Formats: sequence, structure tokens, C-alpha cells
Amino acid sequence: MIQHTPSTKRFTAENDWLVSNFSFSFGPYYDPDNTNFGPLRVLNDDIIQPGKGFGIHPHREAEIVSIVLKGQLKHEDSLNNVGILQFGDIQRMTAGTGVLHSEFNPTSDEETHILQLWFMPNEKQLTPSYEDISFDPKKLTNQLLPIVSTNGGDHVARIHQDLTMYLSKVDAGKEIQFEQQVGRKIYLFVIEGSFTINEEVTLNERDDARITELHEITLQAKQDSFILLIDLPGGEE
Amino acid sequence: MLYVRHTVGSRLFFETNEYQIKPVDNEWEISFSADKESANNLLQFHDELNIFHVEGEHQKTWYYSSEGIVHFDKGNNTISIFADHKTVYPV
Repeated sequence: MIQHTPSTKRFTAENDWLVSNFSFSFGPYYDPDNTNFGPLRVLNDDIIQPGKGFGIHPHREAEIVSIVLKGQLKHEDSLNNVGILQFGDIQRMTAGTGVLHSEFNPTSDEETHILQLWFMPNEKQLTPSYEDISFDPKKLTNQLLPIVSTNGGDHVARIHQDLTMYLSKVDAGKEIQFEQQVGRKIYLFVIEGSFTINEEVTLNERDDARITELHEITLQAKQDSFILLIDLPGGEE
Repeated sequence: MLYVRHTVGSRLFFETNEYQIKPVDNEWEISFSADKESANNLLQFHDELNIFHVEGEHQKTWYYSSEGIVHFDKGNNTISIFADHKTVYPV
């Protein structure tokens, strides 16, 4: 089954320094039928104005992944990690028993565009930790490049959940295939472009698809496309 | 002021300036009044609550119950959250 959610169905929260589009219940937006897809609980698509950001705040019991699409993101946390991320960098933070952090756009003249995803951890009360990795953007072309996985690896962040996140830039007219194991699910998010899934469903920019009970999908790009695919546990929802 | 929020996105459940925070051994019993409907709503999220105690402009205290222990006394319309975690941080 493919459940398609157009970008226009997302909840938008906006103030003078932030525009945030929520794919799942978050903050003031609460829909009991849209709180998660398997362990995926949050996908926020944020635009942060120059010099602005999220001040010190706590998190717990979440695996948080940030993907910088444009501009820069400065991170500081109570584990003494400080870093500036840009496109090609991925940040994974295990909040576990509790971590304090801040996230800012450190520039004076450029917006920061990020995707931030939260997953339920596979274990409670984990020791908080932080990791950032870099991938080679050239390796995104017409293939699924793993960026986060259970076991991690070279240029792949390690997450405390049974999942793999992939990014891919697919040229118009090209196809990529993904085979899924029985009992697992797939989450797809279109960062840019437009493509079809199994010639059935067309996804456009910032749409998502929540896929269950399909063991093979073919993504055909109608335009040059940039996609996020997440292989997730569980197939019942 | 005391704020009770959801761990995912900080959705606000309660905001009150009438509360008690009582240390008990290495834990804290945080109590405040609530009507039955609001209490029942909170209890649905008992293991995903962050409690913030704000005194002054420069610091917050963050509490939570790692086991999600929240009681509602229907007789007194009082919620009690038994927190085992406390962090004070500057804002």
C-alpha cells in the first residue's frame, strides 16, 4: 500500500525567523492519526533566517537526525560538541537520558534549510551521544547512498534503531529500484523534483509516501529529483 | 511558573503558577490542580512529559519521570508527577 501525502497537507508553523513544515504531529499541530510511521515520529522541513535559531533546549528518548540542504547550521550541546554543518553533512544525536542543545544559522546573509527527523530509539535511557558525518555529494547520482544506519560505517552515521536512511539524486528519465524485506516499511520524501512509484503514484516536491506491504519499488524520475528514502522496521501500519 | 509539555515538539499541556515541588529522597513530587478531562488527556502521554520550572529570566529547571509515573487524585483534582531527573540550565 502506498499512502501519498501531498506537501500542501503538511502543517506550517511560521514566525519572524522560522518557517517549519511538519509532516507529523509536532508542537501546536496534533493529529492522533499522524503521530508516527513506525519509529519515525518527526520530519520537520525548516527554513531558518540568518543569525537566528533554536536556543538552549532539552531532548530525551529520541534519535535526532539533521540534514542540511542549504546554508549552514551551528550546533552546540551539553556534551561539549560544537560544529557547523552544511550540505554534505549529516548530524545524528542520541538524546537518551537527556541532552541540552542549541541550533543556529551562524551566517549573516544566507537562509539555512534543514530537514530534521526524530526516531524512537530501540532502547530507553541510552547514554546521550552525538556524531556528524560527511558524504560525497557526487555519490548521490542515480543511486541510493546510505547516510544513516543501525551499524554505521564510513560516511554513515550510526543510529539506535533498526533503519537505514538513503539520499539520492535521480536524473530525469532514470529509474532506481529498492527491494524491501517482508515485514518492513518504506518512507519516501521528495526534497526536489518529481517522480513516480511503480508507475502508480506521482510524488512532487516535499510530498511524502508511506509504503507498506510492497517488496519492490521502482522510482522513475519525471524531472531531476532529490529524494530521501528510509527503510523502517514493521509493516503493520 | 510551571509548564508541562510533550517531549515531541513541546506541545503545552499545563501552565500554572500554583504548584508544589517536593523533594523526596532523590526524586521530586510535582503537584498541581487539574480538572478531570485535562488530567485524562495528560495521562495518555504520561511517559512523554517534560516539566519546566521557570523562576526569573535566566534559568529553567527541567524535570521528567523516566518511568512515566503520573497520578491523578480525583478527590482533590490534583496531578502528581514523580520525577527522577532534574537539570538546571541557563536560558
